[in-house]
Amino acid sequence: MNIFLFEMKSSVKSLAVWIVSIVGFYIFAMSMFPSFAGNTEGLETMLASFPQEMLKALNLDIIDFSKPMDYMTYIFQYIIIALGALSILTGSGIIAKEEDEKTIEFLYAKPVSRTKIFIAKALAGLFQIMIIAVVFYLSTVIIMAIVADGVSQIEILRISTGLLFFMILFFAVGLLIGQFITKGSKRLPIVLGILFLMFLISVMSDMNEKFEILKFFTPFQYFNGLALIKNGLKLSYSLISAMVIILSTSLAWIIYKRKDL
Amino acid sequence: MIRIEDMKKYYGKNRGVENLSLEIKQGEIFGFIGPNGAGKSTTIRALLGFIKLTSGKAFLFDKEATDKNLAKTKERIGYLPSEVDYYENLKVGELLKYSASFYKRDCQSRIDELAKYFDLNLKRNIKELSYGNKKKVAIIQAFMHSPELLILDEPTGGLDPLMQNKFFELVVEEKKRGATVFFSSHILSEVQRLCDRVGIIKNGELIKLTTIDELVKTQYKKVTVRLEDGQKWEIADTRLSNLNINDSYVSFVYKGEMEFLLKILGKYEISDFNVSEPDLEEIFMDYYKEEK
Repeated sequence: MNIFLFEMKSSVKSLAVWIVSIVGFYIFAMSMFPSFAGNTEGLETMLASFPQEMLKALNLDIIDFSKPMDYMTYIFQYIIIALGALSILTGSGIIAKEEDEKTIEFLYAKPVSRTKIFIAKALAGLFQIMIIAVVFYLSTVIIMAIVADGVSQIEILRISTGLLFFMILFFAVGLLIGQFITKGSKRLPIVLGILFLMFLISVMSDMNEKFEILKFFTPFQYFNGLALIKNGLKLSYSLISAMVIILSTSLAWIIYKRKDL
Repeated sequence: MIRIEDMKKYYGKNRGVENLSLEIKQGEIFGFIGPNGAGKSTTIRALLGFIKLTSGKAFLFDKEATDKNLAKTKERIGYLPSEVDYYENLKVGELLKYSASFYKRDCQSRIDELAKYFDLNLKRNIKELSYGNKKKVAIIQAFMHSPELLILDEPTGGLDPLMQNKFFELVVEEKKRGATVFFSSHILSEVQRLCDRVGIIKNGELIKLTTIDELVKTQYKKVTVRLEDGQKWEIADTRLSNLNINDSYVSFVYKGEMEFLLKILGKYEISDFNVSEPDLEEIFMDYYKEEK
């Protein structure tokens, strides 16, 4: 418990910065909804001049900008990239950062097993992610209550749950990567590179039907905002995500237990 | 207290330690000597489970040093690392409080006592501390729970002579209390001052295991002679080490039968002659001289 609490205390500042930034952006973006909703014809005319592939890539071909939750899923696309980055950075750094800065030796000298260190740190990361998901959920509830009437609470819950699942997925992948690359200067570009590669694959698979198969290889497709609010997370995507989370975390734990400091 | 059986650790193709067997008894201060890179820290890190052995076994308190066992036995161990890296955003007191939270006993009064003893301000930020002060934090961390076994890896680095002296006194106090001390160092004078027994490690292998008294007294003699004018020292022999010729003065450390020593000295006309116990440093150099 002391490691968990120490982790939480150490992360308070950065977590607060992330929350303020994301919520600030969210409020700012959603404050423009009334303008978009009031001028859908002008918006459609403008969008018609864009290449069809580009509209598909950003879901602009199917989003109805007069509906608040549809508009929100458009904003969600950007929020999910930022929170994906946060999750994979947190996961990859939660142990590796201490190995890189050699502070892990402090913990290894204490009467605590590596398994306990791993669990405490993983839970602390998970808890931070849950806080962000809850903040996102509450922000959405409040914002929607302000900008529109009769927004489905189920839809808000679906997209928030999807976001949580998405973040856990990237956190778990980060945990695994952090076992191989401890040096911060190498770790950061690699994990962010993986995240943006996933996003690029998602965009490509949307733009061209030939790349349809690629949709299975990128979580950005699993956690598409519009699909989430309409149907929730697809069972096949849920199973693949759960498998990746379990495998990544288990592998990270096995490697961590055996590795040399 | 500590038992190492055929410890072997390779980092890829590089040897860390090999064929290392060692036993340290309860209540003794055991000196583990060797220059940087000899394998001292590797041995300690393997004992504490920081690194995994390639083969062999290590036991602490008669329990094998596995992750599961170590999680319990570390309650009884105080470890002072050679390099100290701490969470820079904390104050000294906060770090020590966090450190104490891992032990069952209340360590606060001992922390305060040791901080006063080493003149360390608990309210200072870790990142503002000099290396010497960080080392004091490490010492308090290692000693604050009054452990039964102290594993000290190059403990005096960064400490000024006054603090080194205080540290040695603290180690002696801990021994009196009943603690066992594993003292790794390349500074021989401190090993000579504190330790009961000594192990010398070279290129990852233990090459000598003996008591300090035996090492200093029974085998080696430091010989200094002054030759009569016009004579030149020309004897080179494996029994003579640390040979130093300065005009008519010749000094060396001798290891061997006295008869041979008298025989070679008899070849010269000598105006002055002195035989004394060499210090550990001089003996150590003999173990470490390059093989030609």
